[in-house]
Amino acid sequence: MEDSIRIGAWDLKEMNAKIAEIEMRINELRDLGAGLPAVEKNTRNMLNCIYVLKFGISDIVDMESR
Amino acid sequence: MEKQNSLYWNPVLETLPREKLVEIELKNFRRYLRYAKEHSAFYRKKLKDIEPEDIRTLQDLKGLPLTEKEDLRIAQASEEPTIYGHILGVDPRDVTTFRQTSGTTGKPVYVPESSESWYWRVEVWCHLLWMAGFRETDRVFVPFGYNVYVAFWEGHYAAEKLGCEVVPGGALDTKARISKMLEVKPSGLLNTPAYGLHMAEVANEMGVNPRDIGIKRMLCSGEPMPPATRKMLEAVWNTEVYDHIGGTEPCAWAAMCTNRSGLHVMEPFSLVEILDLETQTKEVAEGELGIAVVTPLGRRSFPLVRFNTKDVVRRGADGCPCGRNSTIISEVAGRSDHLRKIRGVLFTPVSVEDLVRQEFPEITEFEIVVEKKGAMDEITLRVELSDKPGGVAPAEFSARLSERLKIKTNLRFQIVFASRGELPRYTLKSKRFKDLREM
Repeated sequence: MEDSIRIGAWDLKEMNAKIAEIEMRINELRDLGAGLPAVEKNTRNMLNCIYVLKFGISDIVDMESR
Repeated sequence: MEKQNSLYWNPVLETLPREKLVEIELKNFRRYLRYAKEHSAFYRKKLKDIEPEDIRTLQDLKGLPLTEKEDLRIAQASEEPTIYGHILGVDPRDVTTFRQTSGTTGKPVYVPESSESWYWRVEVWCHLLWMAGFRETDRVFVPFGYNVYVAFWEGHYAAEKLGCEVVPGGALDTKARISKMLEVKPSGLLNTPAYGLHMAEVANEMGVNPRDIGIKRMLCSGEPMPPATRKMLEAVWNTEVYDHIGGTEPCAWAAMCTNRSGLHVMEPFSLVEILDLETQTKEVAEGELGIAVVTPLGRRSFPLVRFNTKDVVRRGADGCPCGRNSTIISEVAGRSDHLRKIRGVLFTPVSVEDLVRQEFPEITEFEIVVEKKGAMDEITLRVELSDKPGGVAPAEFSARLSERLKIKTNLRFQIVFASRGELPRYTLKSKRFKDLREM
């Protein structure tokens, strides 16, 4: 498998890895803040952004990685 | 570093080759289908014999049933387990906003939005606004109270996300909105075609030339906008006018780029099929009219698989100078529920609007009425003229209008003059077509 998937100036594979890492960190933060509405609700919104980023970036990587 | 002058919101997605776009849509379709079957009782039942993994090509989709608006109404009629019926694709506690359709064609459909689905919708609108040239330097005026109708909420949130400065113009009458626009000097306007024309008319009555307000771009929603209406709006506002098409149920699914010749399907956010008008089973060829069937591939709160939008559109030629490889819609001809047979002739009201806006600027408002007179259908165009009809005698004007309508629609219209202000003005969807044969 290739180390990078580039479109124009952008390394999608690296971006995808960062998206996955951020998602993992947000989930960790959500678990740490379980029971704190301020953490639970804000992490939820952060995960919504991740959902959109996965649609725009990660889906291309998934397709190209096959 | 952000590249604010970039042509694309997401260049890696928008410039994918056509075959890659199709591949990603099919993959996302299978994922969406799995999700819908797992989370929505409505689709679990409706698609019980369909295996997502069997969908390998666009042709394979044709074996799946369409989802009709009436299906949604029936599913919601029981009000069980929630007001959204069995369609809901998320836990009811995850629904964050209630929306509903306008109810133009029957009982409104209730549309639940989770925050995740809302973020997805707003992202689609970011693409749409960016494609129309909206940037963070724009101040965007929205002359509506948004209420439970989704389009201007989407436009508002997406414009904010782009970094625009949004001025909500609800809870004001038209004169107050124009005054507010003179005060804050917006460069962008979200509008409906009908209200854009009405605002211009009111501005002129106030002694304000809409061309002087400084609107650089206007994005329209809510109803089909024939090319002549778009050009008229561009002329009266001295601005670029952009069209898009979408709906409360599926989200926006096609929009104009800055070339303003046709609309790009918002791929790969939605998988859009354009099916033949008669059987709705096969894709139409380039240049042909068809019904748009839309699957919004990221909306999980209200799953929709192969939703029949009833929008009648013409498939355009592939490719656009802007570099996007999405399917092009070259014309939005109207809605299939507005297509009528009158004296055996297939008629769409949009054709009349196109003619009126293009060739008869004296007409400020109009209404089409179809009635049964004995055994015959009769079609009447009621017109309201501006103060300056150009010195033409009514009989001569009426004859010329009737003749042009005959050529355009193949139907002989009766022309009736309405007095100034007699015909209704519209802010959201106009209702200029009345088929009294159905009453």
